[in-house]
Amino acid sequence: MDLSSLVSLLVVDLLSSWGRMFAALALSIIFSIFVGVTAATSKKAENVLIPVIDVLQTIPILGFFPVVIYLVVLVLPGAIGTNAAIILLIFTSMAWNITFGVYEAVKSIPDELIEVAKINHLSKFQMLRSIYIPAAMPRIAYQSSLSWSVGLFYLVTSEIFSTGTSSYAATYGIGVEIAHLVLMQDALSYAIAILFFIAAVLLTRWLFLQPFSIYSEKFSFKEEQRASKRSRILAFYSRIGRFLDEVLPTVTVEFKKRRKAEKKPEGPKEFSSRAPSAGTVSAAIILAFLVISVAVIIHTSDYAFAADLLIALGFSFARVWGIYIVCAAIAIPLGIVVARSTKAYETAFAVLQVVASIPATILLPAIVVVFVALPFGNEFTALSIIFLAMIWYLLFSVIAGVRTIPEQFDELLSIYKVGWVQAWREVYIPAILPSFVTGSITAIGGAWNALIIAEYFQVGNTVLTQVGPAADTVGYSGIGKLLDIATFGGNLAHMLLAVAAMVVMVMVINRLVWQRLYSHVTLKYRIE
Amino acid sequence: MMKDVNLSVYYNEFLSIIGPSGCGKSSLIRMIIGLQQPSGGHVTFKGRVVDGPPEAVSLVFQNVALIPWKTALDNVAFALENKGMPKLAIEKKSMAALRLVELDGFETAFPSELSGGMKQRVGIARALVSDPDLLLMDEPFSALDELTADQLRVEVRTVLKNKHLPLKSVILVSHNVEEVVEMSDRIVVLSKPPSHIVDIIKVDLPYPRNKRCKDFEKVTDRIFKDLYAART
Repeated sequence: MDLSSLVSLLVVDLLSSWGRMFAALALSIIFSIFVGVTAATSKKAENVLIPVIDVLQTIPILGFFPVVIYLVVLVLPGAIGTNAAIILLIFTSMAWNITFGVYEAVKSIPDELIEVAKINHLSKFQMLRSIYIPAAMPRIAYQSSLSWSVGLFYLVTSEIFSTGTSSYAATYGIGVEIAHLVLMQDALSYAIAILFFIAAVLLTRWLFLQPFSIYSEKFSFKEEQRASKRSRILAFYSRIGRFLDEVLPTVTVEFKKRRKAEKKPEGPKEFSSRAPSAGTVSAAIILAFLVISVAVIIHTSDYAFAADLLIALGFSFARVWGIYIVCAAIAIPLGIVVARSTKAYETAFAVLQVVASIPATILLPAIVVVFVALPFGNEFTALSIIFLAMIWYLLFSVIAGVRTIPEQFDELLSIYKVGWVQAWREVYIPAILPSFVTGSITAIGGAWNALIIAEYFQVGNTVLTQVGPAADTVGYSGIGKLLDIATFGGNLAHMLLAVAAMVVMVMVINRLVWQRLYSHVTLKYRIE
Repeated sequence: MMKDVNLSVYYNEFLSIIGPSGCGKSSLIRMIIGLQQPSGGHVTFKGRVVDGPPEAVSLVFQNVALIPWKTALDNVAFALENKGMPKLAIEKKSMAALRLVELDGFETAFPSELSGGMKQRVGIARALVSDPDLLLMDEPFSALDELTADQLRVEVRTVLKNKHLPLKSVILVSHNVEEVVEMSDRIVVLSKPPSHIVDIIKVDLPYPRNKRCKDFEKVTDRIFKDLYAART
């Protein structure tokens, strides 16, 4: 393919993909405002919504992709359906964490401000516009930056997945293009596509995410966060905004007229003590999945598959946790070193953020090529994907943890000439534990999602068949592999069982291991 | 927390409520303005039972709670958002309120650019801009340094005496004995929880009040005795 047509193709692809991303982000922000504000202002809503979203956050959504796309296309056929399914999946990777951000921000609004609004009989809409949304802006901007990186993974994976299915393939998209290029074994074009992707990520950061973040700081309640940071792009946008304000006629919507019959502000709401807690909701979901799974197995008498399932879970579990230990061993020392080197920190951090935005799936073909000749090559490929999916979360959480250590600690350590081994063991590592645990929860969740791609890269009957040794996938078993086989074999029962098994395992471990660890660690090690 | 508190506030009076910490003064204020419901009994304002913030009642907070990203003018205007007034009228009224608290010239300043005393003045302007009949003040000066607080007490007293304001009555909640004697027509003393009314003192001294004068000291002594007795 010649360069100019490749470039124009890539531009169209990137526009399509980014269009899906922005659509998902917009939907996520709107969702998060309504749900987050509701949860933060109504005790009853809070008791229901927060546990539910907490659980939704834990479920490896990508495992549902086949089911999702199948259902969505039933309702919205054709290209609309495929795009809707992809947007929906990206949405699920963004919405929950932004919602939690809004929830926390609104809860932190000083009570007196809300009381002033109530005293002056401000309507819900006015409170939303004047208080809730501005107050939530800083968190929304921050979470959006985070969600963008995560969303890219879901975008690319969903797009590549869709190409594997004959009926649901999307026409344009960067993930789609990568898949095609790999299929045609066009290494040069593939490399160019990756470069374009990186360029698009950088542009998004520069033109959108950063100005958004800086602008939103103006709404912070903390004085130190406001002011100082400048952005030339932001200044440019402001000028455009002012120009438009003067040139275009202002349209005033007379909401006040419509609100003449505004009902009286409500009294304090009753605390509902019978609403479920997070633990109850997750226990209920786990139980539901187990019951459904057992029912299906008994119904189909497919005990062989059930046995396969358990073995697969074992293998996947080993992979995820094995890589986790490797990642931790790398992320902790590296993170501590990076965070403490004041000179290189800013640049290193920016570079890391960009590199972290590149989803592992987009590099999959390259990785396969690297490992294909080696023994256990497929296994290494799978492990690399899992590694890439986890390492960034862990690295960033370590860095964040180190940044919370007050400078006085460093001064103490040098005054008393504490050796670095002891310093690490007694100060740095305990200090990073709270954020490291949080990061680990997210990382492991991401790893389980990555399994879908990592363990089976013979996607459908196209794409990566050519890349790996034909008809060979990951040598041994794996839950992702089972799920993928079920998807492209169209076996709904197996699909459901595989997803259920994964969900149950993730949630059980989450509740039993991580929640306890988190409470213990934050109690003991949090720096106030 | 409170038991048997029966209280009436009259037209054209400055009433203060004082009591030891934890006696529920803040809760009482919020019950009066309808932000909290009493577990027994009820609150009536102008003859009607209060079950939500009534019209024409305002509150000044201890921690002013200004919106950090709005200017002083916009913070005052915030109280008028639901009145259905045209923008220009809202601006005029807010400017007038700021002038009342002697902050004209500062209307475009952000809260972070204002001192503590100035912020509280914006809070007072915001409370007055909606033309309330009753003004409640929840320890409005306790977060300020003594000099600023002193100055503000005098200014507030002057502002509230302004005949042009529709304001009729003020209820001040405080833990500062001198403050309540300096400002009030009547003082209610509460006991420690479960609180009840220990004493109601009428203060007939002319304004401005001299803290050194004997009669002033008689009142403060009486309050101190009440509070001391209330502690035991």
